[in-house]
Amino acid sequence: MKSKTSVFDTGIFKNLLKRFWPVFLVYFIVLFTSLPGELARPSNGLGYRFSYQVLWQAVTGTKIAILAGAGAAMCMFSFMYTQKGTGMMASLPVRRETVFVTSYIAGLVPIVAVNVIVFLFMLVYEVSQGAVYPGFLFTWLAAVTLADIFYYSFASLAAQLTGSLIVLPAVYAILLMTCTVVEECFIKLFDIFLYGYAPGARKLSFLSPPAYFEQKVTVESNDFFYDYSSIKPMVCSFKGMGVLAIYALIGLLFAYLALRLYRKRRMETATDIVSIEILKPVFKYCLAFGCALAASDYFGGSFIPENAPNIEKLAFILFVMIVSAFIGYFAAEMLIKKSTRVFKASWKGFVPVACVLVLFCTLLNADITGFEENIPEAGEIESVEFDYGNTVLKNAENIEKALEGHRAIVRNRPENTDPYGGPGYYVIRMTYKLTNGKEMRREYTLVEDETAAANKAFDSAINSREGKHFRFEPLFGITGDTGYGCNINVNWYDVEKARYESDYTYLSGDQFKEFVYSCLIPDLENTSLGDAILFYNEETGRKLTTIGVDIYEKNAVVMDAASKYMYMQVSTDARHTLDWIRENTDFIIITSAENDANIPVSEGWATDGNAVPVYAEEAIID
Amino acid sequence: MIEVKKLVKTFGDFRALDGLDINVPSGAVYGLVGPNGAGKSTVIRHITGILKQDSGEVKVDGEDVYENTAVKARIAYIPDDVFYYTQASVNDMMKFYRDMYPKFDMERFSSLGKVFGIKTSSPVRKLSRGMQKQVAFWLALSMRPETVVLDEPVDGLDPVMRRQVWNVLLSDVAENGTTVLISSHNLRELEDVCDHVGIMNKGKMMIERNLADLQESLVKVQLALPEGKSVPDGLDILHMSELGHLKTIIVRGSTDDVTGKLAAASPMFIDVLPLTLEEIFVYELGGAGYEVKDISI
Repeated sequence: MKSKTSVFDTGIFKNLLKRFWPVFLVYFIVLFTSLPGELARPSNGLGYRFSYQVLWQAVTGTKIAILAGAGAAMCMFSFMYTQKGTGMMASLPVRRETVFVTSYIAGLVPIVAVNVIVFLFMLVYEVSQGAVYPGFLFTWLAAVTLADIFYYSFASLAAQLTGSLIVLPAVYAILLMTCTVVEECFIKLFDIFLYGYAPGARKLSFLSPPAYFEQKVTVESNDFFYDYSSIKPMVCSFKGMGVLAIYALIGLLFAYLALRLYRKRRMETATDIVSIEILKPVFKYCLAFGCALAASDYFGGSFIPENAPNIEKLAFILFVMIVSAFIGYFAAEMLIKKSTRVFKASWKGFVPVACVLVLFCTLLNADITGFEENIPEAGEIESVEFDYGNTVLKNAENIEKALEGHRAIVRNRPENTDPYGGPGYYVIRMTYKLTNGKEMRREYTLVEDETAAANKAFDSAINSREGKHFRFEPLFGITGDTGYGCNINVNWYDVEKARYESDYTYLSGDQFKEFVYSCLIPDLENTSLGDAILFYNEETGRKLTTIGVDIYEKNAVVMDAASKYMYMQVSTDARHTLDWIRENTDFIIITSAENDANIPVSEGWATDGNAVPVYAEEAIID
Repeated sequence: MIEVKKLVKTFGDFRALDGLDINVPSGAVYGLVGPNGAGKSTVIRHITGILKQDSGEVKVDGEDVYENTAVKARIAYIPDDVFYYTQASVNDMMKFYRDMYPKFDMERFSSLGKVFGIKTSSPVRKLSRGMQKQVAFWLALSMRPETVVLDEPVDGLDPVMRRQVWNVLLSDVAENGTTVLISSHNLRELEDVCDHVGIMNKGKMMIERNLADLQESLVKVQLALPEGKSVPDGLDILHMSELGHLKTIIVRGSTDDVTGKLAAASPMFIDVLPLTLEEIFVYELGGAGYEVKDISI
C-alpha cells in the first residue's frame, strides 16, 4: 500500500524514464564521444597523455553539464508548462512534494548513471590494456557528477520561475550569467564616465557559475618535458574539485528551494512567462534595467569616441539607455499581460525607470564621489604596483615619483584629444596598496606629448633600481654558483627578412655563472638593460631585441618548482651582455650603425645619455 | 457529496469565482450549466484539487480536496481536453493510473474493454478525439471512483457511444451510489441524465435545484385572450411572445398558481406546455442580463 508520507512515486518515476530515455542516450553519446572517444585517438590512449586528457575531459564534462542539466530539467518538469499536463498531474492522488521529488530524482539518476557507465567502461578498457589509473577516472566521475548536480538543480529551480517551456532555457541561461554580465556593464559605464577608472578583480563571478568554473576548474601540470614516448602518465592535477563540491551542495539547496516554490506554485500559471506573482514586477524592472545596461555596454563601446566631451557622452548614453529600457520594460509588460495593449495602463511604471537612469548617469558623470581627483597621500601608501612586469615599488622615493606622475595626469587631463591619433600612446595601470588594507586602482591612456611630466615620472619609478630588482628578482636572488642552469633566447626583428627571428641556447656551469654574474647583473644594475619601455608600438617593436632567461635547477627531470622566466629589452649600453653573447654564442644579431633605423636594440626610453654606439656591422656572433 | 462554500478565485484582475456555493448530494448526478466564462471549468479544477482557492471551502465527502491524496484517490476527473503522454498506449496509461489509484479494478478494465472495443496497444494520441474520450471513460470508470467529475464529457462521441457511456456511468451511480458532477453545454443530454442542476453566471450560482423542482418552478403557457383583455398583473413573467391572438408566456411559479391567475382573464384557450432545461437556462439567464438578442444583420 502506498504510504501517505512517501515523497517518491514509482509510477511517475518509471513513466518519466520511459518517456525521456532518448535525452539521456544523447547525453551518454556526448560523454562517450568526449572521453573514451577522445582517448581512442591514436595520439592519446593510455600512455603519457592519458592523465592530462582524462582530467581535461573532466573540465569539459563540467561544461557539458550546463546543457545536460537544462535538458534534464526541461524534460522532467515539462508537465508544468501546459494546462492539460498540469491539470492531469495536479489531479492525481499524489502530494506535490512527491511529484517534485520524484521528477527531480528521475532527472538526476539517469545523468549520474550515464556518468558511472562511462566511468566503468573506461575502467574496463584500462584493465584490458593492462594499465590501471583509477584515480584520474574517479576525478573525472566526481567532477562531472558534481557539476551535473549543480546545474540540474539550478535548472530545476529556474523551471519553477516560469510557466513556459520555451522560456525556461532563457531563464536558466540568464540567471547563470546575469551577475557577470551586469558587472561587466557597470564596469563599462564607469569606464565611460570616470577618467582613470580601472576595474579590479571581478567580484561577482562566483554568482555566475560557468564563468567562475572557467577560472577555478582547470588542470595544472608542472611536467615540462613532455615525454610523449613515456607509458607513465604525465604528472598533472585537477584543480577546482572543492569549488565543484561546494556548488553541488548549493545546488541541493536550490533543489530544496525549487521544491518549496513548487509546493506554492499556482497551477494556472502554466504558459505564463513568469509563474510567481511577486516576481512579475521584478522581471519587468530587471528587463528594463538589463536592456539599458546591455545597450550602454554595446553602444558605449562601439559608438562613443574616447575623447568625446563628457556632455556628449552623457547625452548619447542616456538616450541609448532610456530607449532600451523602454523597449525592455514594455516587452516585459507585453509578455506578462500576453497583450500588446499595455502602454496606456502601464506607462506610469516606466517613469521611475527613466528617472533612475537619468539620475544615475548624471551623478556618475558629475563624479560626485570625487573619484577622478582622488589621489592618496604618500603616507597612506604601502606600495604601488605598475602593470609593467608587475613592478611593485615600496621605496618612498619611488612612491613619490608615482604620485608625481599621477598628479600630473589629473592636473593635465587631456580634453578632447584622441590618444590613438597622436605620435604614440600607452596605457598605464597602477594599483596603490594602502596602509588601511584597501586598494586603489587607476588606468590612464596617455598621449606621449601632452603628459610628458607623467611619463617621465612613471619611467623613472618603473625603471628605478628597485623596479628592476623587483622585475628580475630571480636573477638577483640566485645564491651559490652551482645547481642552476638556464636557457637564454634572443628575439629580434630581421630588417632584411622583414620578420621576427629568435634563437636560443642552454647555459650551465661556468658559462651560466659568467653570463649571469659578470654580464646580466652588472648591466641590469648599471645600464638601461631591462628598462621597461612605456611607448611600445610597431616602430619600437622593430627596434627591440629581447633576451629571455629561463632559470631552473640544473639536471631537474620534473620541476616541482616552476622555472623562473624573465625577459628584458636589450639596450645599446648593455656592453657586457652583448659582448658575451657575441663571443660565446652563435646567435645572429643584426646590427647596423650605418642605418639607425635598423638598430635592433632598444635605445632605452630614458637612458642616461651614455648609450654606447651600436655594433658597426652585421655579423654572425660566434 | 461535494460542498463548495463561498469560493473565490481571481486570475490577475479577473474574478473568475465570486463567492460560489455548490452542493452536490451523494449519489446525485449534478449538471452544472452556465454561459461561457461563467466559471464552470474553474470550479471543477478546484473540486479536483488542481487549483487552490483564494478563499472559501471545497470539500468532497466532508474533507478538503486540495493536497488531500486520500480524497483525490476517490475522484475520477475527465477534462474537456484529456491529457495523454506522447506515444503512450492505452495499456501504458492503464499501468500509470493503476499505480496511482489504489482501487483501480483490472477486472473492470477488462470488461469495459469489451464495451469500448479499443486495442490496449493503440497509441492513445493517434486515436480520434472521440476515441480518446472513450479511453478516458474506460480508465476513469476502472478506478472505481466514488466521485466522478466530467467537463464536457461526451463532446466528440458518436450518439451510440454517448448512450453507451451514459449507461455505464448511470449504472455505476445506481449500483455504487457514485456522485457525478457534469459540466456541459449540451442541456438536452443533461436533462436526460441529471437529477440536480446548478446554473452559474459570472462566478456565482444563480439557481441550484433538483431538476424536477426547477422544471416546476417555471411554467410555459400558451393562451388566447378575448378581445380587449390582457395578461393579468401579479405574474412574474420572464418572457412573452405573440403570434396573432396566441400568446406564449414563461412565468415563474407553480402550474396551479399561474393558471389560476390567468383564469381571471377568461382565456378562450389555455395550455400548459413542458419546459425543457434549455428553455429554463435561456429564460433564467435572460432575466440575469444574458438574454438572446434580437439582432437584424
